[in-house]
Amino acid sequence: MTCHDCLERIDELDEGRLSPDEATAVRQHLDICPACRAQAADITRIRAAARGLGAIDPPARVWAHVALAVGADAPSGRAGNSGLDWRHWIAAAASVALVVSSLGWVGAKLIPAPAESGTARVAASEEFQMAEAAYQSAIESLEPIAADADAPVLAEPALVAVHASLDALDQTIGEARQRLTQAPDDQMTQDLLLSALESKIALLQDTVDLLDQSGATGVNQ
Amino acid sequence: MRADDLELARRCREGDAAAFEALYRAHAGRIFGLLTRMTGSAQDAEDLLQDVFVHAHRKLDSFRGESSLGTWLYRLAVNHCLDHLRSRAARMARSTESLDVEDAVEPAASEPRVPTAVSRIDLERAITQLPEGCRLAFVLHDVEGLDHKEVAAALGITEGTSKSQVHKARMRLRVLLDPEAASRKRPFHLVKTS
Repeated sequence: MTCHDCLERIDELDEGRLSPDEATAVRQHLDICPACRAQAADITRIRAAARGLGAIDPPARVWAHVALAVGADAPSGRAGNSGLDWRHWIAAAASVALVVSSLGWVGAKLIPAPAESGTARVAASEEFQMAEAAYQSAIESLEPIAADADAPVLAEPALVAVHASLDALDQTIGEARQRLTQAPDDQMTQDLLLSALESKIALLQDTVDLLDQSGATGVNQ
Repeated sequence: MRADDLELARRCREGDAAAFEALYRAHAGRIFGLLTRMTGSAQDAEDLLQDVFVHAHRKLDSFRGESSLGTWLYRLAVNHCLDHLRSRAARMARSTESLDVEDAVEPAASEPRVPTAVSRIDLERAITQLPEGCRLAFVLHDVEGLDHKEVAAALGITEGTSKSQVHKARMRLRVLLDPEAASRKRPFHLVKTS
């Protein structure tokens, strides 16, 4: 068996799809070829990591734009079984789009194109920190209100979903911040962090809206 | 499950805003992940996600329930994304370049180079750096779990090309996930065992 033949069969070996004779031949080759053994291990690790990538929450602005576009298609005043029609929805989506676009605009203003000079890099870094601080400030103002989600005004599945989403976002935020301590100017990690912070703001805002509708926040009472 | 999908599709067709939002919330994350990795660009993925759901709303009349709504949306997203990439490739006059990219340098290594626990950020970043042809095959096969026959059908290539592209992607990722390996070069060599 050649190295090429061996590496072509790694997927089938991992998935148990080789015949006993084929599996034995591949394992015998791996036993005597350190390079293939190393490649096979790396392939297995890459595949495992790839299968674990999962979903990525899109920014809230995407739903707002979809709602606006689809709502514009819908006949005026047409209501479904839920009694909700697109007029209410468009109004809500427009509100979200306005808020999120504003945040996005602020972020865009604060984070210019990749800097070329040392001075510009320092400025870009400072502006990223300002953007992060602005997002963090928004989160800190929403979190105390959203914490009322622990009150029994939200159904259990909704609570579980909110907490799971917040946990996932916090994990990403933590990982990105950890990475930025090692590579503070990494544009992709900066973008990931701002995107996660933006998603958290949207989730907290949705939670606050739900509580508000239920009267739990007392805002409209 | 299928009955639930048919009911949800019916409500969406009848203009039930809440039903369509439920459809979006249930599937947007998976599709956005797919589009982000296929295009290598979060911005392109945002635009495509919006297009996919607007298009889906207009095409819900054609949903017959032969597959789940999730599968139907997924196919719509893959096809829409491939159309976008072909259009982009045509605009850039390099439609076949990415599929013909030379194989990655094989790192000379007798020990694994990829960390046991690969960071999600590192892997996401590395995927964006793959050439388009092997990135598409890798995303559909290794991330999304399609088999080579399905990848070949989706991309309009042969199963052999799909296998080759996935292997190229993995070898490039092996280098990208281990910066030290980038400086090592090793041609394939033969070791006879039988």
